[in-house]
Amino acid sequence: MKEDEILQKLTNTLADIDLEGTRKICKEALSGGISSIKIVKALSEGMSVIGEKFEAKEYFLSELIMAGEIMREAQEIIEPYLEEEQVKRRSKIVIGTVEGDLHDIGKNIVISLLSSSGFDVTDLGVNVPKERFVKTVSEIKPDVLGLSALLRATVPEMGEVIQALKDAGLRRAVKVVVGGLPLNEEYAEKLGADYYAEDAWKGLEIIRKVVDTD
Amino acid sequence: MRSLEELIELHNAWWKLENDRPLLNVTYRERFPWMWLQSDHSSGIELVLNDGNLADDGPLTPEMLSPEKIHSTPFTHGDLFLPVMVFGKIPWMEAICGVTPQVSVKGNSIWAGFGKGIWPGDWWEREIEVEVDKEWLNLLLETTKYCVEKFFSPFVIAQTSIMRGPIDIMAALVGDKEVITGMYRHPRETKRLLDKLADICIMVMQAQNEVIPSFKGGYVNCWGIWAPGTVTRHQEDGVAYLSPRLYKEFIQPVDRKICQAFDFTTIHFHSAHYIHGDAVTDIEELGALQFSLEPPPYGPTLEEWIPIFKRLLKKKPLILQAWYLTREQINTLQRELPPQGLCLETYVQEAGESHYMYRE
Repeated sequence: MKEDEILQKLTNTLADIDLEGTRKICKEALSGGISSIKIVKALSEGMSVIGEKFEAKEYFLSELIMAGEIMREAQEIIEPYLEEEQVKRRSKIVIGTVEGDLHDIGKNIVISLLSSSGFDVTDLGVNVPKERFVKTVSEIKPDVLGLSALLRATVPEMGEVIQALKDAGLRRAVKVVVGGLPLNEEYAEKLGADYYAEDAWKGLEIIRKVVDTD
Repeated sequence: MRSLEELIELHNAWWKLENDRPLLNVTYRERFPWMWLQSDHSSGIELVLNDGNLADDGPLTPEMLSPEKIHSTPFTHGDLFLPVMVFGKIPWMEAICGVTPQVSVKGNSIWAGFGKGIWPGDWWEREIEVEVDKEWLNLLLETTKYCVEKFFSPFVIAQTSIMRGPIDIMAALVGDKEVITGMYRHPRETKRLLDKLADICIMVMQAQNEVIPSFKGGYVNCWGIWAPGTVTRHQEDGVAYLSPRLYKEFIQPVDRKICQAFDFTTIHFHSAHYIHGDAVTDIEELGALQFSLEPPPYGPTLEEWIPIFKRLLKKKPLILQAWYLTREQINTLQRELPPQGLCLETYVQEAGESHYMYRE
C-alpha cells in the first residue's frame, strides 16, 4: 500500500472509532518508515472528522471519549518516534474541576482531546481548592488554565479561582478557559474568564487558537 | 370538591393514556424554593445526622443516620399525592452496592464514586462480584418501615425518589469514563456487570415495595401518581453521554429487565437525555417516562420539545417537571400537547430565576 493510502486509512479508522484498526495501522505506518510527523497529521485529520460529526450530532460524547482513548493509545505507540522538536513545542495546560464539584467526565473528555492533540496536560482532578490552582499555575507556568464545573452552586468558585490568580499576580500570565453546563458567554465574562467553551470540542478549538496566537 | 376516588380514577386513566385532562401540579411562588442550589451550610443539603448535627464534608456511614431524621415531610398538592418517603439525596443504590457516599456541603449533595470509581482499572478481567452492603439495605428498609408506621394513612408512602439504575451504579464502581470505554473494549463484561446491577436494583425495589402497604388497591410512585399495581422509579443519568446506538445495545436491555419486574415503572431522564426518548419509550413494559426539563444548553428549547413530546406521548405517559415556567409557557404546553398521558409539575415565578427559566 502506498504511503498516502496508509495515512488515509489511518485517518479513516480513527474517524470510525476503530480501536484495533487504528492501533494496527499506526504500527504498520511506523514499521513502513512513514515519518511520525505525517502519522500525527493523519490522526489529527481523523480527530477533525470526529469533531465535525460531533457538531453535526452524528457522534455523541461517547464517541468523543473513545476517540480520545484511541488517540492516547496511538500516541503511546508513536511517542518513541517523535522528533525532539515535536516534544519540545508542546504547550502546557492545567485543568481541574473547582472546589465543591466532583463531576469530572466533561473535564476528562477535554483532557483526552487535548492530550491526543499533543498538549502537555496537568490534571488536578476534582474538588480542587483555589490555592492549589494558584500554586500549580505558579509552578508549571501553563499557557492555559481550564476550569470545569457542572453544578450551578459551584460555578461561582471559578470566579474565586480567577480572583486568587489576580491576588497572586498571576492573572496576566495565563489564559483562563471555563466550561460547564451552567455557564454561558455572559456568565463566563462576569466570572472574569478569558474564554468560554460550550462543549469539549469547542474547548479544544479555543485552546488551539489561544496557543497559536500567543 | 374532587373526591379521592376521582383522583385515583384520573391517575388510572393517565397510565392508559385515557385521561381527558392532564395531571397538573403547579406551584406559584415568589421565591426560588430549591435549597440545594444554595451553597452555605445553613441552607445547604441539610442532611440531619442521628446526633442532631448537620452532615459535614466526608464519608457517610449507616451508623451516622437514623430513620426519624431521614424522611421527607408530607403534604399534598394539585392533582398529585405527595407521598412520604425516605430521604432521596442519599445515593442508596450505590451505597448498597458497596460505594461509600461522601457528603459535600459546598456541592450541596452526597456523592458516590467521585467519577473515578472504586474498582481497579482491570475490573473486567478480575471477575469482581458486587457485594450487597446489608447495613445500607437494612437502613433503607428500616427507614421505609418508619415512614409507614409514622405516616401511613392518611398519608401515602412511596419508594425513595432517587434510585439510580445500572449505568449510574456502574459509574460509581468503575468510573464515569470507564463505563464508556468498557462498552467498546470489554462489551461482554460490561453487559454482565450491568445485568447484575439490574438484578440488584430489582431486589432492592422489591424489598422496599414489600414494606410499603397498598393504598386503595394500588401504590403511589414518588411523583404522587397512583397505579393499580407495583410502582418503581429509577434513573440512568449516565446515558446522557451515550450515543443512541450504545443506549440500545447496553442500557435498553437492563431498563427493560427492571420494567419487566414491576407493574408501573417510570424512568427519570434529564433534558440532555432527549436523544434516547424514542428508544426508552420503545420498551413495551415501561409505564411512563419522566423528564426534568432544564433549559438550554442542558437540552432542547420548549419549542423544540413540543414535537418530541407529541411523538413520545403517542407511546407512553410523560411526567414533565420544570423548575420554572411562565404561565404562558404552561398554557402553551397544555394547548400544544394532548392531555392523554400528560403530567405537568412546575413552579411559576414571574420575576423568575432567569437562568432556570425557559426564555420566551
